Amino acid sequence: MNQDTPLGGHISKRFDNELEDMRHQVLAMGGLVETQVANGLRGLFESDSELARRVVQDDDKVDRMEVDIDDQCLKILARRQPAASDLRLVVAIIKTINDLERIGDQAEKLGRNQLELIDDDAGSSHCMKLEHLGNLVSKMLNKALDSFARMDVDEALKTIGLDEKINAEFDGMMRQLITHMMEDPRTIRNALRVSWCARALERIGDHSKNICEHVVFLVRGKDVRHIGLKEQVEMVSE
Amino acid sequence: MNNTETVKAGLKKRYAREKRFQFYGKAAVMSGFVFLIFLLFDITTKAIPAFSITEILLEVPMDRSSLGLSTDTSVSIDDEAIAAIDYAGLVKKSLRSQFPEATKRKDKKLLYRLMSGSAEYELRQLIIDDPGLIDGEPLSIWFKADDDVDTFYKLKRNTSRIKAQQVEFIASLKTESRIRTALNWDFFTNGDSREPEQAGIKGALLGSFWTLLVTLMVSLPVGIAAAIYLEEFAPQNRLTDFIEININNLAAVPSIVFGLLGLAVFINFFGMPRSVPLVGGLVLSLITLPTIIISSRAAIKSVPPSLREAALGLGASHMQMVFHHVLPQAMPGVLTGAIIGMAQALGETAPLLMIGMVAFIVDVPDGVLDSATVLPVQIFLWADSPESAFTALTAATILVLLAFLTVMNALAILLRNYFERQR
Amino acid sequence: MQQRNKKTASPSLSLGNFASTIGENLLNDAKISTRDVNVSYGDKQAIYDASLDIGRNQVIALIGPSGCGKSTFLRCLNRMNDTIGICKVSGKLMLDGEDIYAKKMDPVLLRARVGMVFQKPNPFPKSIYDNVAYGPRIHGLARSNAEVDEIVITSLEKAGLFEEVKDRLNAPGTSLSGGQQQRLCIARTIAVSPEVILMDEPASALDPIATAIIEELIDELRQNYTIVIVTHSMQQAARVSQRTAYFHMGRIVEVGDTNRIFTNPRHEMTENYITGKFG
Repeated sequence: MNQDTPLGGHISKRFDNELEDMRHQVLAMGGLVETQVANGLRGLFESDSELARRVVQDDDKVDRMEVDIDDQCLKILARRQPAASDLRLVVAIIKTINDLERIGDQAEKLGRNQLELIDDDAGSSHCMKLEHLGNLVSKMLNKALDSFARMDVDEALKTIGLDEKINAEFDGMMRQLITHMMEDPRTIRNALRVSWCARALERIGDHSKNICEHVVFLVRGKDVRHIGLKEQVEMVSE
Repeated sequence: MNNTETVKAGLKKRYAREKRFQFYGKAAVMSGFVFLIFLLFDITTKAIPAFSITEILLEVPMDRSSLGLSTDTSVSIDDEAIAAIDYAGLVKKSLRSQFPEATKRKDKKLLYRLMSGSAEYELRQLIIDDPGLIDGEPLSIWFKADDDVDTFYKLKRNTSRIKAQQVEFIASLKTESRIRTALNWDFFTNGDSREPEQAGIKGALLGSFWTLLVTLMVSLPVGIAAAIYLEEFAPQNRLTDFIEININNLAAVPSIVFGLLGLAVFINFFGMPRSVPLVGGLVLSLITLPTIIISSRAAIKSVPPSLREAALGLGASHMQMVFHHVLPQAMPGVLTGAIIGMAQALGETAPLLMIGMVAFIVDVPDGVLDSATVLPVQIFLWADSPESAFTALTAATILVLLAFLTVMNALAILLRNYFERQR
Repeated sequence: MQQRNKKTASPSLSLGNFASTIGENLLNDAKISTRDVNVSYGDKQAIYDASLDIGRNQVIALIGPSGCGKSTFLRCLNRMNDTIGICKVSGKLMLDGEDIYAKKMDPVLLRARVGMVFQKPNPFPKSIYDNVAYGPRIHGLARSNAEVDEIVITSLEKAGLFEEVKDRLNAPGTSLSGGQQQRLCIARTIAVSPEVILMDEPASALDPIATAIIEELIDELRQNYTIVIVTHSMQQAARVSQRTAYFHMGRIVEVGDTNRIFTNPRHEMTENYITGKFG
């Protein structure tokens, strides 16, 4: 398969344009979601409730974009009856925007939790603990979107590997929070908020992993979901 | 100037060109039509006199003394006696009694010439058919007039052949209503004759019929078989190419060459009789075969391949495919070719001259082995005859030939429609 | 015919060089198997080294651009190419282990076993009844008129046409609509009880509804017949077939499960063709 121009080359130029346009919109949506996550995290770290409020508000934009792209996919399916790589692209996009929308929701959760935390000064110290996990998740999301933009299977597989790191980090953080809560029951309220934020970040990691799996499906036509990373790499390299 | 105007500017010229072309077309059709009408008109007007004949009423005495028989009533009259009667004298006697004023030898001779030579034969036939007429009342019989009288009376045109004395006779007959114009049935029921008033086309008509029958029986099966073989079964090689070229060339060979061929092969080599429809039909078959083969091949070729594939795809053998599907479908085209060939054969004269079908034959042929002539040859013969009455007969024969052709074509169209309905 | 079916594709066949074909072109228990088939019309070669197995009771679709040799290949399977003098076929074509191009294989018998339906509906210019009865009659499949009646009715029923024409079996076959004509042609083919039915773009001249009816029919016929269908409509190939073979410039480029071919073709040319890209 021609990996350099995966979308172009159709006899129908308009079809080329439609696919290209759709892909651009997905990338734009990815960019927006990435910003949402970054802003949500910044709101937490910098206790910037103004930023957090904006994140909550902007989730609408993400939702609207999802609806738009969905609509476009539907049109392409109905009018072009895409096959092979085109079909996989449309299906992958439908799934990817679903994941992006969920990521957007998780970013919104970060914002809401930040707004709840603001009353409490002690909260910010907990927030700092999120920083490592947050950076990890941001990086993963960024890489997932990158692999999607470049349709790079190797990058996608590497990115899938990051999910385990995030899960480990999340588990560690949960243990830490539980210890805190047991030591000082007054921190429970904030610790719960922080744990919810951590949970949201962990979910973002999962969705990013899904996006990477969609990329593998899109490029290689292989479904690599719900199997271990080792098998995934084996299957792809077949 | 924009496009619309450019187009508009040229439009007038384009329409004018179209109108001009249509005019040429119409003119061509019209001129052809005019020629055809003129031809038909000319032939028909010339042919009309041939369908009527002038007859003269004579009182023929039937008493034994007039008939030259024994007056003894006890003597029975046998066939021999009847055959011995002087019928010509009887006719002359009747004429003399009609015109007692003609006493001079010269006048009598002129008087006798009023009647056709056929009168005595008619009278004889009448008495042979019914000997009971003897001893009866004198018979009033319409006898045919001589062809010169016929021409003079019908066409009111005097030629030097009618003498002044005869004109008087005719005038006197007319005042007594003893001369009339009647329908000339003999034209359709008689064979050829030297006397125009007795000449008929039945011989030529049946001769044409038998000849064409032989032609059809030979050339249609052979032509179709050859076409099917060449189109469907023959391998594509030099030999079949050679045969194909030759068949195409044969269609262009002058027909007289076929006549010579027929003379050499059928009559001299196989020893078949001369002047018979069998040989004529065989020779005409040779002429029509290329036409039938070529048109049949075209018809077979034009059967859509999808039909062949359908039959083959079901497991029909090649032969079944051809006879169940291709041939019925090609039949209208084959028939068209056959009819064109037959029409060509019907009008063919030259090759028949070569095999002796030009002979003067009075008898009507009863089969393919009786000497006969055919319509176009009859036309040729009569057109050559000196008597002026033959001009009308020639034209009438042409009309009959055209009618024959029309009937044949109508039959073909009916057949073709039948086969087309089968599709 | 049952005994013949027991024989599988002869393992002694030389598999030859079919490196150009990718995907699953060979099967274990094939109804028809072809190996290294080369077909040429005079100087022009139409098919190169085609090796393809056609599975029992399944529909295989042959797709590819015009002039890629798929119809030629189809016509080799019941020797319809025999009628073209300059057509030369080499290689092995086996129907249940019998060589299709062997001297002792009678093309008439072969075509009774491998029926064919054509692109343009081509009913005979005869009545509907006679169209269907023709095959059984020429092959002597029915001993009495009652048996012919029965064959005609069951064939029309199998082709899903009986209800529509039962009142006018004596009407000419050409008086039917295009879709009905094509079903009549299918009924005509079924009437001979073939083992394999070859279809050369059977729905290309039909409207979508008639096409859908034909496609439904093909799917039902799969229970009893092996079907090879050539089609220009990729959607149709995707809908009716279990396996798909992609032809390009006289070569079989890729063969595989239809689901896979249409979601994840392996060869770039297949991909380009079915996604409508420049080849």
